Amino acid sequence: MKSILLFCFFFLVYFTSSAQKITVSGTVKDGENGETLIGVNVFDKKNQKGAVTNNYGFFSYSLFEKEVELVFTYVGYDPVAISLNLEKDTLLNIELQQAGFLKEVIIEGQKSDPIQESTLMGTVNVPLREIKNLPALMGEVDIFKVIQLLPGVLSGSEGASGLYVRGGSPDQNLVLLDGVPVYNATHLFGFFSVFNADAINNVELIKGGFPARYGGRLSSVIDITMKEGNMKKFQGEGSVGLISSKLTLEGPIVKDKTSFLLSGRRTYLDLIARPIIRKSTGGQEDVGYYFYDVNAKVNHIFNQKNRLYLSYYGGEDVAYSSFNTTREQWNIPGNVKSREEAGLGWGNNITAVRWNHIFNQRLFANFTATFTKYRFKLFSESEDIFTENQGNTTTRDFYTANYFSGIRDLALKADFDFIPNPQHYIRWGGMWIDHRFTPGVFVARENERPESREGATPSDSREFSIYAEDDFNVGDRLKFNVGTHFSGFMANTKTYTSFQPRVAMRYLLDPSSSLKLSYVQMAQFVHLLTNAGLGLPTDLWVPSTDKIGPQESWQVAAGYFKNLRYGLEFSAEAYYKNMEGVIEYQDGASFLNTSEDWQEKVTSGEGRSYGLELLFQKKTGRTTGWIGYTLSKTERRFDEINFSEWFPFRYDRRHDISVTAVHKLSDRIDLSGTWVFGSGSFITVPLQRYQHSLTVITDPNMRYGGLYLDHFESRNNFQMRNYHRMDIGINFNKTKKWGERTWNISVYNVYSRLNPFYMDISYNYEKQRNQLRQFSLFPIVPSVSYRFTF
Amino acid sequence: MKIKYFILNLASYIVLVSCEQFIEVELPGQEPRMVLNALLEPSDTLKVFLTKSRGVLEGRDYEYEFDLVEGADVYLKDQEGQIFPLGYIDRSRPYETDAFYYLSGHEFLDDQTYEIVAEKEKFPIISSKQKLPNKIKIKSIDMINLGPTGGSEDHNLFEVKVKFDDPPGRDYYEISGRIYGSDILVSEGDTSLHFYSSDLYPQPVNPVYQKDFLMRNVLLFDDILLKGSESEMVFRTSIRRNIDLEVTIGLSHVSESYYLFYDTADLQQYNRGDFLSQPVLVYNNVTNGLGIFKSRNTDQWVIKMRVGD
Repeated sequence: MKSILLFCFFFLVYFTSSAQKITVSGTVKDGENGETLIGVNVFDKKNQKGAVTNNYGFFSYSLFEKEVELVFTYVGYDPVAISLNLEKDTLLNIELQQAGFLKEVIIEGQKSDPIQESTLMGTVNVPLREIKNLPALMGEVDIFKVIQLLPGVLSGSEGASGLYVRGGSPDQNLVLLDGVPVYNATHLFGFFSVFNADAINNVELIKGGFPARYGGRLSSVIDITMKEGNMKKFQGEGSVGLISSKLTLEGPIVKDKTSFLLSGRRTYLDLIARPIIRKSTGGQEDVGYYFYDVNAKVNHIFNQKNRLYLSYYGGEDVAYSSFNTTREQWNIPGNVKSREEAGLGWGNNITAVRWNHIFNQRLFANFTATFTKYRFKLFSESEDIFTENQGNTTTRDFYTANYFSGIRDLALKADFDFIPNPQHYIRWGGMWIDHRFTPGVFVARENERPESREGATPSDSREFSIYAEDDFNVGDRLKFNVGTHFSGFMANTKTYTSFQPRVAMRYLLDPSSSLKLSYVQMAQFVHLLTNAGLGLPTDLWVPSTDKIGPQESWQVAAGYFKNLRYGLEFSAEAYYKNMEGVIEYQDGASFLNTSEDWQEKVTSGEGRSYGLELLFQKKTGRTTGWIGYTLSKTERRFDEINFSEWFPFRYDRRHDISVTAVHKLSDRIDLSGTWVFGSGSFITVPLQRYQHSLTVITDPNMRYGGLYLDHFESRNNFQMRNYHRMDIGINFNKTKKWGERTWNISVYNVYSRLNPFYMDISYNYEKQRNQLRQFSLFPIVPSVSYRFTF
Repeated sequence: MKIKYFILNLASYIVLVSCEQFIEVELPGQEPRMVLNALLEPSDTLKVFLTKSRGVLEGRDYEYEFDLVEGADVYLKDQEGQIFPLGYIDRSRPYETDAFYYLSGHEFLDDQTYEIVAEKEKFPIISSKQKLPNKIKIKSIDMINLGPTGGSEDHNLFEVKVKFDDPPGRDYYEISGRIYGSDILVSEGDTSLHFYSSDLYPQPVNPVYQKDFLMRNVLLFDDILLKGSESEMVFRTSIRRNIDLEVTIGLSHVSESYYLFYDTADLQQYNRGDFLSQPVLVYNNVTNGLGIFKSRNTDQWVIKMRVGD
């Protein structure tokens, strides 16, 4: 009760102290399509203070003075300056116009809040415009592949989209699509992310210094916002590539009031291969793989204070094979028609309803109801139909076996932004999630026999969190973001709670550079059981239980940030992260063994990671891009693995370098290129083979003889070759009567470096000995795609 | 024309590199090492088996025979620093290797630490220490007849409770046993003597102690869940009816090395061939070499019984 009273008093003081103030608030949008702009800098030149738009384009600026000279700036857009003489609280809705190419400004559609100003650390706004211009594997532009090029973010195996952020594993990334968690964010066994770049408005990656409003994962937040749909006019864009095509349509349903966006993508390798396979097998066999995804969004502006969004994502991967035959029965005259089908499928369904409400000029709220579901299915079916020649009797034999796993969340969330004056930006809110986990169930059925089930039963758990944070100035140079995140998880009979303080500080050295410090604690109540880190759909999401507790971490970071001239930015960040409760399969555990409870197969332990990240970025001009370098070390320790000794994390990568550049040669031709280098990943390889003691020591209880043992020095004892690769691309743009088209030619892995994908030991008959073989996935891969907008 | 040749060359290059399946990678640490296998028990003879390991890149999976290390200097050091050289005996026959270093007539004492050292040119000196655990006496064995087993017509299921004192500190145990029996059968005037022999096959009642991967029919466990002087291990076993039996039940107090070795070596063996399973690191306590020097001290009870219909 005391705390509630204190809380009320706290806000009363704020409201009272701001009673004499005048507030300018409103939203900032793209003048061409009505899309809200996130992170627009609103600066009052007269009073040398300002504000920034939030994730819904809303800003609020309160002051005692009546005269203001507001300048709205955003990279890639013409600035807008407005002088006002205020008498009362004023609502100001601004539309910024995209800057023309003649001004040699590349439109990026990204935040312009200078890096030295914000208290945020370890945060990168992913330049969406550059994503589309960068060379892409098989012509398929991928957001996660671009995020992998940022310092502090490592890729897993060759071609895979898994993200390893500051020594964390992929399950420690909170991937949000319009505020809804996405549990399996990959297609094609991890080679592509599920996010269609054409349907995305903004991507923000946070690696450390997490503000209190984020929680639920240890290592990163990838906050992806879908486009809202053009409020002004109907438009579309799409592309045709080697493996997939996509189309995005958007436009107003009621101009400046209601808009829609609909985007779809599908691969067609299966459609191309089907006639060839059928022809070669006489129509008996069919094998294929495809994925598709659909993004849809409708948003409606009821009035200046209320706005509603409805967004949906649905996607699925399916790999299948079927075999049909007809044969003569030899003992009883008749025909047997046989059908065998097997395959696997997985996918996500995500829905979010969001309501933006402006209570008053200084208080903005967002209420969200979400549904997210990830499911995986492995199926096998066989059927024999026997028809007797005489008597025409028919008998049917069938067998089906299915393996299911998945997770489903229903969540309610409320977030409030309160801006009492330019010195403070207060946020608070809460969330409630109802989880349902289905961690691996095997169901088999044969003819008329009862169905047999094996594996874990679905379990329900509930998670909640509340947070409060304030971004505030202390004098002209110091700025703090102080907050706390409190979360809890109701497991079977236990309730876990976690109090997580978050502190970030910025000290301005001069107008263009600053020093930043941060300390955060995080907690995670869900775990991902994964075997190879490939982002396989067989990976299982499981909850914290009475036996397996939550994951927790703390992270400290310090950084130097400099805004140079000509659109150049430089940042250097050092961090140390400690993780507790991370889980790993025990020695000898096999994930396909469904008869054993998953809790018996895992063990929990600790992890630590520390490193230095350097980022030199050029955001404007004909040439844009960045150079990133990460020096890091990551280790894990478990009581039941590696005899309790620390061992390197599989993706402990000492050096990681990425160079990315896009150069606009002319308004018709763009050139792009990337080069990446990473120290080799670690795997566990036996070095020696030796005699088992059972073969030599007589023991009355011995059951077997003639045995040998493999000697592994330690877990992850072998470092694979270094990874490096260069990709190049060229875009030919042309304006047509109906819009604009772009031919993109990309070459992935230009010098065909054989990078490691996996390794094995096998016998070489020519050399009469075993050999350690490294398999690579992608040599040089050229591709072409055709993009269009209308 | 130049462009045509360029495209042709580029296409040929792509085809060539795309066909390359894999590359061979060097693996360090392939030099053979000296492997020591020995079991310390309060018997009068200690056997030490020395073999050479092979790099995994050498040979094939089914070649499980390993070269012997002959002519090595092997000696035992006791706690007082006294040194006892080991002799060597080779009784190998074609396709059956049987050679070891041995020390006989030595009294091994409970709670004493012994070190085996082996020296052989071209190998670094290897050594390993073990403490002989003290014998833990079986306080009592209770057997409850649960009636005929479901799976076998001539066996009854028994629940066996072995009670013992678990001393303070971390301790490890193994329960094993054998069943022997004989019976005289008279059929159509002919008299015949039948012998019966079987492992004990102890199945723990508490599933926490169940280790399906163990290669011997034993119960291997630590004392985390035991209750000191009230300690007991309850297991079930099936015993044949209508025959005079001698059931031998042994409680071995084993060293940590013994426990860790079987806990890991048997698991690795059990998972061999399952490429989806996690690798298993086998416990090894030989400095500069490989293998295991382990110890145990066993107390046995023999129960004579006959189970009627």
